[in-house]
Amino acid sequence: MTDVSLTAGAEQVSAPPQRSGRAADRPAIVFALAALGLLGIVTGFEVSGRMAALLLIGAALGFVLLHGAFGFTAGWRNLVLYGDGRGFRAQLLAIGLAMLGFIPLINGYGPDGIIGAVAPVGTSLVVGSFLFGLGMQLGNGCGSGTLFTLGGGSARMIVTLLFFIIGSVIGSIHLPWWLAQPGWNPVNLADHAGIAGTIILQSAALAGLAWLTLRYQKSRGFQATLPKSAGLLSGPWPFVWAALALAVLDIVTLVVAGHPWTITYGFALWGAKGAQAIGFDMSGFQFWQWAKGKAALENSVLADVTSVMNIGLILGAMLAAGLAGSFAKPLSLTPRFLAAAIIGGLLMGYGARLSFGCNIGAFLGGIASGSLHGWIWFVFAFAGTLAGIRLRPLFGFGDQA
Amino acid sequence: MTGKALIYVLVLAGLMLAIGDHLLSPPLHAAQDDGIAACAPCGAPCPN
Repeated sequence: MTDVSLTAGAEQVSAPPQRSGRAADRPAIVFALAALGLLGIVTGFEVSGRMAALLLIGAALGFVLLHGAFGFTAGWRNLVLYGDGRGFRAQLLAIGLAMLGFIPLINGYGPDGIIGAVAPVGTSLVVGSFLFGLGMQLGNGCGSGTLFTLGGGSARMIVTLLFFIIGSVIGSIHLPWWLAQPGWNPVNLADHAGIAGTIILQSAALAGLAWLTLRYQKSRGFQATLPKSAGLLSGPWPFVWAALALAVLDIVTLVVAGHPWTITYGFALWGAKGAQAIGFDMSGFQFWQWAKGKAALENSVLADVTSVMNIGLILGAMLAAGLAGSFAKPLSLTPRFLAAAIIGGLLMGYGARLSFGCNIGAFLGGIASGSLHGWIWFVFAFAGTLAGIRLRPLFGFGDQA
Repeated sequence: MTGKALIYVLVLAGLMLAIGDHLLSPPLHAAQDDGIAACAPCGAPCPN
């Protein structure tokens, strides 16, 4: 049996959870709680109580992601390389559970103004999702993975995040051109199959995928080992706990924010604001002239739901890592790892803008919303991941099939 | 600088930047309707 814990990436997150036995890292706990408290007070008094609540929801998501070691990147890679489909099936479970709340809520049974992650289908989506899938294997983490491993103390992810942001800005500038290429309007499956029909149809598709991975896992001879132990505060959590918690928190996000959990829009906004700060006029680009982008660029970053939740996610992951005694890994940056982080970050940022999100906004949010674009995103991002896995050895990652 | 200290410094810097951006931004306002129907979460218009 292959020991999946020997994979070389920073995001070794699909390995069976093992209790670290390490003492809690008090400075990390105090730092995370103090930062959450300070930002919660600022957003609560200066923006709204709703935004403070979203900060805490983001923190809860970060906490869950870290304790559940819920990485999309490693989950897909472990399935391909080792036949270990546990992480991938947990993702399918989270999507399926979120869907049960999403589909009714966004199709007339939720509060006014709620919208799903529904987006156009076309050239932009296909190219963008492929680039994203490729980039996430090189960058060693997707949108959520980059944030929660950074919060968990992986300093290497700073490089990936920086270039993720740069790629997002470039993608925002190019998106209007990509949207002018062949494409079709969004397809909300509930408009065609109804609420119950969409839930049944997608449940069958998700279950079918899970069954395929089980067959593949068996054919590869992968034997899963059971986690030794799990603690609610100190972790690690079984995948099932994490999948359930992520689904519930995404449904709560949908109700509180008015849209599903997203991550990468915030990166584009951070980059655009940074570019403005050093003299570039981003308001001249079409993406930033659309109503949402224009308002986001002009308003405080603390008024942007995605940005606030992203910050919360980092701090929540730091809190979880502090409680687990696992905060901060040794910093090891070889030139090849650095190159992989730069290229991976750029590809993910660019790809996420073209394909309307990452694993969270497009894969989890898109499919749970019953949008056809979520399924197409998955197919092409997985194809990109296959290419990325083949390229990883060139960058010094020691994956072994 | 250790990886741990680097994370603390950068997260703190990020928080200060966010609060600084808030202090320097004009009063909050909602997105104005630009007459373009949003077709994606980012506000992109429909292809057709």
